[in-house]
Amino acid sequence: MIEIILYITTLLISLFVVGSASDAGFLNSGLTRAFGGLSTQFVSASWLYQYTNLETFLYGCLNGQVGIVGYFFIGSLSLLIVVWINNLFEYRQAIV
Amino acid sequence: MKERVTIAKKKPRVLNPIQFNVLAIFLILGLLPVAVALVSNAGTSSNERYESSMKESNALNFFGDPYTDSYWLDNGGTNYTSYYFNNQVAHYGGTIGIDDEAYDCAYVVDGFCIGYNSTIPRRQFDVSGSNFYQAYNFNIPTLSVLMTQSHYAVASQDAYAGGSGDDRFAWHLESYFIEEIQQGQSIDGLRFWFADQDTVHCNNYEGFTNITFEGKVSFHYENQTRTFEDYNFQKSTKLQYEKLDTNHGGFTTECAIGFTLDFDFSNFETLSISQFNGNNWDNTTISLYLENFEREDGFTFGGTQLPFAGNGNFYLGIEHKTINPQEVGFFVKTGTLILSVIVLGVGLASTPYWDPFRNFFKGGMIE
Repeated sequence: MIEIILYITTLLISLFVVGSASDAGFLNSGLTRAFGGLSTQFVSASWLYQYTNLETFLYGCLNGQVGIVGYFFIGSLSLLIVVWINNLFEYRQAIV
Repeated sequence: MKERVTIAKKKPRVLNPIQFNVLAIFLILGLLPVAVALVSNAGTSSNERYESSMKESNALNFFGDPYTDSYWLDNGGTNYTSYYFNNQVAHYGGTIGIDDEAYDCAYVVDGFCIGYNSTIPRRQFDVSGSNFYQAYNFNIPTLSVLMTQSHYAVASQDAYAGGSGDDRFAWHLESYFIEEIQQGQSIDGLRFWFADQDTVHCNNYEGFTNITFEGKVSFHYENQTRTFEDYNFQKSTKLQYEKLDTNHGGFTTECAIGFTLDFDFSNFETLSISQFNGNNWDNTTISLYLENFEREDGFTFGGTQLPFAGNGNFYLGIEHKTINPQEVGFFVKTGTLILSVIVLGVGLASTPYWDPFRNFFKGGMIE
């Protein structure tokens, strides 16, 4: 489940980055947008998975290894992601 | 006299809302994992030094203590049963000690001997030739037991096939192997020593090579299992160490096919282990899995020498390092709480109802 959440998060980030770049006059063709989006997601997902222990930490929180504050952290992070998803749909920006 | 004239400049606006969003997201994407890494490793090991986890055997106890719950889980992932069974010498060997059980255990998967006669549901495959636990400190630089290699039973009196596979080698080890971890003690690292019993020349032995593989370790307690995985190892198979020369005095340098493997646990993993078994090590067993072996030079793995693969013996040593669980718990839980509050704050600040970031960047934003 954590993997799916992280992939969705990186997908949203890449969509936002590509959309923003497009609005700013960059990445005008579909090919460059696809390349930019895939590259952004690949780099951000690789960073999170291979070079950080974020996934392990989230699993630890989810499995109760960090106690009640672990669940609080998961809740906070979930809230952040939900807000960003909502903002992206509503305002085309993650932070408004 | 020159008069200095200062021209007031308008503060440049450097960020439009989109740029601000991109910057904020990348800061969070970059800073959050770093913060998590800091929190999960907060607090230091109270004892950075590894010490032996194994119980030293009494030299007067000639046979040692019998194994009751130690066995090979996997012996390489390649089924060589037909090779050994069809080998002419092996047939002859059958009359001098290589029995059906040995042929069956030419291939061990998940603790089951399934090579030849699989009608027996589960048979404990011994980890050492004598099937008795004997740990001494004079073979390698840590306390170690002598264990049989992957195809000892079927190939000890026969030609070894020359390779044991590159898929998975795994062992289940009972509490003898970690009996020196004191009751109530929290560990934040395990180190495994593997060394082929046969020493080789340090400088001109061609069998040394660099390999990569993955590892995981499981703790078993009261029919529950907790596994720590995704350890990636990059190792040379050359194990070099100093050994006391009992005949001439002083130390000599010895080399063997082997390596040491460190399983360092993050602090919240240490907490997790403590919660899992209550640091009751007398009733905890462990399983060690090593898999997906590859050579760094790109050659096929084939008969690449591994300390535990073959028809002879190897030494296994286990060490651990300890940590203060109260200190770790305080740092990890406090750090996680602070992170949670920050993330919650960022979440609220991402809504239109509270704009602390924009206020912070006020003057630098193009509205």
